[in-house]
Amino acid sequence: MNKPELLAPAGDLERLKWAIDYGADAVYFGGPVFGLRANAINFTFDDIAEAVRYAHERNRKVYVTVNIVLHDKEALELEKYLKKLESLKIDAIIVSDPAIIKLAHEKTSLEIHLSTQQSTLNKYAVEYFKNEGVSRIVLGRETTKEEIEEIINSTSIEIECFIHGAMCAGYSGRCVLSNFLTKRDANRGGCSQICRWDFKLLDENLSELKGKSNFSFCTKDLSLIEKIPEMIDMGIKSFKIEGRMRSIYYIATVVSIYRKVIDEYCNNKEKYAYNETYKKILDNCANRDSIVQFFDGNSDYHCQYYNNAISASNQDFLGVVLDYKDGYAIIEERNHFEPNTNVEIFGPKTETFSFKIKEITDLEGNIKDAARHAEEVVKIKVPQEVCRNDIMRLKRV
Amino acid sequence: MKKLIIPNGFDEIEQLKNYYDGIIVGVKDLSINVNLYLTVDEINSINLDKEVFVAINKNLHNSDLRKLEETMKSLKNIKGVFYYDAAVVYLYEKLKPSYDLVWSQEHMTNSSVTCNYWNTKNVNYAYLSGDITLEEILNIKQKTKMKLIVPIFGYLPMFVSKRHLIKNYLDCFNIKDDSKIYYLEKDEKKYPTLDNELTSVYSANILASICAYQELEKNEIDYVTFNAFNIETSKFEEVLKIFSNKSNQKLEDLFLNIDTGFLYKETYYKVKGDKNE
Repeated sequence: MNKPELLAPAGDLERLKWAIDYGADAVYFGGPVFGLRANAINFTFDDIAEAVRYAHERNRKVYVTVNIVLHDKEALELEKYLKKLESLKIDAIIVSDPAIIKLAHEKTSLEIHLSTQQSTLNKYAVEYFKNEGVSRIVLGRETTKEEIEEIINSTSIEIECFIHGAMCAGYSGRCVLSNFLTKRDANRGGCSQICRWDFKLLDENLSELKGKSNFSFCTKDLSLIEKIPEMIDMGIKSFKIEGRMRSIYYIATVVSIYRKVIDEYCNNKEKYAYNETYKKILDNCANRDSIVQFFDGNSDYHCQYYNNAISASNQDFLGVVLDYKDGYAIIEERNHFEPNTNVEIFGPKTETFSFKIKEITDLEGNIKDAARHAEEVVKIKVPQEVCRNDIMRLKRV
Repeated sequence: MKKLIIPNGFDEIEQLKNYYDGIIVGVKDLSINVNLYLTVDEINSINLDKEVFVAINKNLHNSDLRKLEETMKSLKNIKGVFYYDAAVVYLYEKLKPSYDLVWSQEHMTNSSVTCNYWNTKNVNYAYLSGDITLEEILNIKQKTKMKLIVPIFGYLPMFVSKRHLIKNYLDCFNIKDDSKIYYLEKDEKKYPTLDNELTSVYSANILASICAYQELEKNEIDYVTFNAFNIETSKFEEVLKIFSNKSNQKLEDLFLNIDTGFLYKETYYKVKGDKNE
């Protein structure tokens, strides 16, 4: 069986390392310029060099987004930038503008992946870009299972599909709500997420059509956790997780869950059984509903959010393990916790286990009634050995 | 500089024929953001001493490809096809029809570099984005051999979705309504919205600039477009007269919601944390 690549987002170097440690086969991120997350921290050239070193030492891959839609003034520095990326030995660039494909081909030996921003949804477009020298295509998120299958069966090129994360309400590249309402260019990384704003809906006579909530473009998130076996059997080469702006907790949780599902299925297809708990953990982590979206052809109102406050900050992430000794874990706090809280710990080498916190002390052994402060370091007794960078979260499921 | 109109119907094509040089129409099931969707036979039987362009500018799925190929083979006596999806270029190379292609990726037609890329694929026209400045347009003109088409009048498309976003909202709250057009209102601005095969949202204001028009003409831009979407024919006719110096009326007297779009207003984006710069 062809095991697909699990591709994770990395908002910065720290999150890149967490993604790799928690099981990503490859990571993607924006460099100093020309990416579509201009408001993320993004990677410096030094960061990229370190990312490549960290990933390659672990036999993982690094892709850099160069998926901006070009304006003339950006084009001037592009060749120099691509050559610099090549010198840093990244594994591929992710591109949407075909002029960048041509330039990268002519001036570098960089491997080129076509970004979802090009909204590639059919087999002829796939063939077009294959002939242009692209080695992989990230399909548009509007493709159904049948469409993906037809594309894979008609081409030899690698196909990458999104499996998890936020969805654009419109076709990628075809939404400039942000440009018109806030002057921020969505196709150059400035998207201000107008899709999450409320609007009044008026009919043709300008009378309001009022539901219990205002109109919003906002859609629920994508989660294809239950479809992973089908997608592996279909021959999709790479499974992509969305979310370069997400936290280390989100990255670690989502990557580790998909890692488990892919491994469980590939290691023993006959005995594989869908684990509903995984979906619940993913939903709790994002604090947003997620569904399979277009994969099964559905895009009706069940895919939409109309309830205003649609996500709250997640309080489940309680702390990070800094050390372990003699049955005690040293924990750096992320959210408030106290004795008698039911928690679980998981990590790259630590199978998830749960327990109730009996006692919290500081490092000198003084008893505390709670861990209250961000990055406060405390000690708790744990029922089994844990490792540095394991995560402790609230047990919900 | 030639004037292309995006008409609402055959009546307009006939009534306004003294004021334009060509038309842009769509093909049923393959087009978006035009106002008249026709069959291939209807397009081929247009009897007009003007240039006819056809927009095949929808995001195409596998199920559209058969119709796409049949359409591209069958279109006759047209000047060009506006395309969004690379599948059109793929088939163009295979079929080698007599008409030209117009690169028309709506919000992506922003640079001379990408114009010149498509020019190497035998594409000779580019319909520039409504999101770039006049300065950028004139700069592109200097750096490409492509014939340029620039939007100068009309509501501008700003969003397309495969989802039926209006229908979904009405269904969710069990609201019965069969309006042909809707408006999304925010901060007293009303954005015209269609939910047909796809959902399209347009700008709240109408792009209209005589100054920019004159500047484009002076710099030998090849074509400008006038979009009749959501505009009464009588007003649209007056607009065409104004741009042809055949009327003394002012655009401001016809419409309360006109502006110059992005022609004199640059969008921005932010890049943080670049320690290498």
